[in-house]
Amino acid sequence: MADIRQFLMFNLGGETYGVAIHAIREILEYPGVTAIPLAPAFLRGVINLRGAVVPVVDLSVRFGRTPTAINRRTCIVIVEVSQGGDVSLLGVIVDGVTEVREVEEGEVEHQPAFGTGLRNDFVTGMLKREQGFIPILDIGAVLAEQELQALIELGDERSPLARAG
Amino acid sequence: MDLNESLDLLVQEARELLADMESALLQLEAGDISADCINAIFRAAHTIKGSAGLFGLEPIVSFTHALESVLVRVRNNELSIDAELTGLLIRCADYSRSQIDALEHGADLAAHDPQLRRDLIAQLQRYLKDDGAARSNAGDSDEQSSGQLRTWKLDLRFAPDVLANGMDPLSFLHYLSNMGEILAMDTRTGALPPLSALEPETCYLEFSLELLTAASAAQLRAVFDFVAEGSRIDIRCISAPAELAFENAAAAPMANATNGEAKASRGNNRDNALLKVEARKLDALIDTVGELVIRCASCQNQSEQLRKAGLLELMEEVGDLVEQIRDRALNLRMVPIGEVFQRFPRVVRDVSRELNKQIDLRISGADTELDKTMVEKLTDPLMHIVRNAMDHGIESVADRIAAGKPEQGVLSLNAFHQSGTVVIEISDDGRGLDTDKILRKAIERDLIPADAKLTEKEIFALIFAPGFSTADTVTDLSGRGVGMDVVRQNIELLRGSVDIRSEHGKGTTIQIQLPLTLAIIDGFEVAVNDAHFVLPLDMVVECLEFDQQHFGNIFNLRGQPLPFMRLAQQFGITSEGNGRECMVVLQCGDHRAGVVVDRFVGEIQAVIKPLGKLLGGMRGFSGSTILGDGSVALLLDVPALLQRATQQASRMDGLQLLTSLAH
Repeated sequence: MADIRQFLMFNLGGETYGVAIHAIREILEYPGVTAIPLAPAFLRGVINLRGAVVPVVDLSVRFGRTPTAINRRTCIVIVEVSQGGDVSLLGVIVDGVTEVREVEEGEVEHQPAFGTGLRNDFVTGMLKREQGFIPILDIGAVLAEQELQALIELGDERSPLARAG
Repeated sequence: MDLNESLDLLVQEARELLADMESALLQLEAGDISADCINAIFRAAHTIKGSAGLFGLEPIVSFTHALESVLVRVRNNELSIDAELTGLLIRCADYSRSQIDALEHGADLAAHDPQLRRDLIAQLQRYLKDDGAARSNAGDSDEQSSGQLRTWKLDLRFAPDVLANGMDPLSFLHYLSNMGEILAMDTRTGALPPLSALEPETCYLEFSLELLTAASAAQLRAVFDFVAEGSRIDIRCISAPAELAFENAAAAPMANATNGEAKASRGNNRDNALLKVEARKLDALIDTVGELVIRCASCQNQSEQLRKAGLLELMEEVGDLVEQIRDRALNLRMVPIGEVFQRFPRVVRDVSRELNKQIDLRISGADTELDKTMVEKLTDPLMHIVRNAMDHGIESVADRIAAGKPEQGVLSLNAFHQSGTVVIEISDDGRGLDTDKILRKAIERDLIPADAKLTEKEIFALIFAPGFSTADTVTDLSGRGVGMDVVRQNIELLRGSVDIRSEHGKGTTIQIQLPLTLAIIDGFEVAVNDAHFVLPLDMVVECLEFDQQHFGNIFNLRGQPLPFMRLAQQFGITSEGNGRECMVVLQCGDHRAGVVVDRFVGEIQAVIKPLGKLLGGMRGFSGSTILGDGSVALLLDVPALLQRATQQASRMDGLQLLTSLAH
């Protein structure tokens, strides 16, 4: 990290995470999400974002935890994911966003080899704070389209519809 | 403008011109040697050369220049068209197209099949033998009018070794500026190699300039006497009245091409002013209009509740206008199917030669419009059907004579609109489908049991089965790895259907029926608990209240057994469970099945939104749409659902049989 960067801080399952702001398109109040039957649990459904149908991912499930319970402060963060030159939008459910922080060089440490409770490639670094550290997510890796796609197809293999077809 | 964008335009324009050129060449070949035809070919070559020149695409310019020079002679009746020349011109058009393809893929044009280019240019040049003489004659006639100010166009391509020989091109330019006034000058750097490969003593630059001078052609030519060898010096007068008529076509291609085109393309609507728009922008517009329609419906709902005088009427008017806008926006995506059809004359020509068959291609309804995306996706299936018809359908000349048919087979492509759909028919007057042979092959391949009793229609449908082929030998024409099953799949992906009519010995007609557009469908909205789903209305046969008159997963529909499934069960969602259920009877191809839901919501016009890359792999859904309240509803993939229901039902039957036997 060479210069000053901005990170969006959000809460999820009682913990705080940061994500670089440049990938974030917008933040929505939790709208009605249309569930997709037979989809794997990390895929909460789809929403209508001004005419475009955008898939919504439950980050907590993606991290191997329990599904996020929806409450008053639940938000959907719309993230731009690029894969092979194509940019697509994905929504991410979080328990609430707290702030956008400007972070200076040197404030972000390299990720530790383990101990974050997250897959190593999901974390790009750790942001120092008075008490402890905040993991900075590599949102491109967390939402890697190919991997999600493979997971969806895998989940689909097990669905009765796929078995029949 | 962005250079890449302009290059894209060039590629697109060149493709269109080459398509025009090809159809004119095929007319020539068919014996229609009209001035219109020759002009169309010339215009295409000339415009491509001109546009390529703007980008300094030297390999294209030089090639089309050679082509154009021959065409000029044809146009001036100095050369007569014969089969050999037409053949050469067609090969040249092919090469031009391959150059354009290479350009589009960013390949090195100079390295693009140089051997073929040299061969073709050499062959072209044989038609130009006395070209030099013709040109100097023109020069001589200029001589008499020397002394008056005229504008000359000079294209200077110095020999690469001109510098090594001690000449400086720059000094020629200086000299020219002393002879008159240089009005415009363009330096072409297309031949310039990368710096690492640059030979400092080689001249790579070419100059094109306009000179206003009183000097005669001979005087101008004399300037270059010393460099004549190995250099190409082209001097033309572009202002002399005597030459105006001829040069006009060359010097002012834009204006001339527009006029000529209007004349040449009577009957198609090219003469309307056209505007090129990126498909992406159009899609964005259609998306927004789709949103507008949805919001408008919400507004209408609200205004109904308000019951305010005048508001309701106003909202209705707005609604009408919005629907008009939507229809027009969708209409923007519509293109004539002629875009696909125009490829076929060439294919038929080549294939009929290859197979040594005589085939007359008749095209009608080329101006029938359908959605642009469909036009693109139709090309392959149509190509396959047409090749099949030529290969297996139409007989050889000898067989045709033996069957008492005219030597020349007829293959027709026809398109028309029929009750909100587009119908495309490919017919031939060939030998028709042999039902016995199809049955035999199907039994051989275990597609049907040996004792199956099938109707003629069912037998025809067998040719769509994967891996089916009646051909005794696979030719390279139709054995290209795609069968009719792929054709059907592709058509079904476009939500269309394929139908075959055939009479043994008389011919075959393959009819493709397609929706006008992929962007919007009439849908039927159903609900299970609070989950809403949309079914394509054209697959809905009937809706009824689901009573308990069923046996396992078979419903008794007026005495007929109908397999059914519960959507809630299928999707693992809980139904309302208030004891009341409804059933939609769906038909897709030969499958018919019931789908049980909690309630019907009603018919809607659904603007289809693709599910995107991430969800594209989900089975059971073919897309999504946005409902009046702004929420998303999934579009059910009916074929997948029906297949499931049918299989489940047959499994249940087996189980029930077993249990009844056990008791």
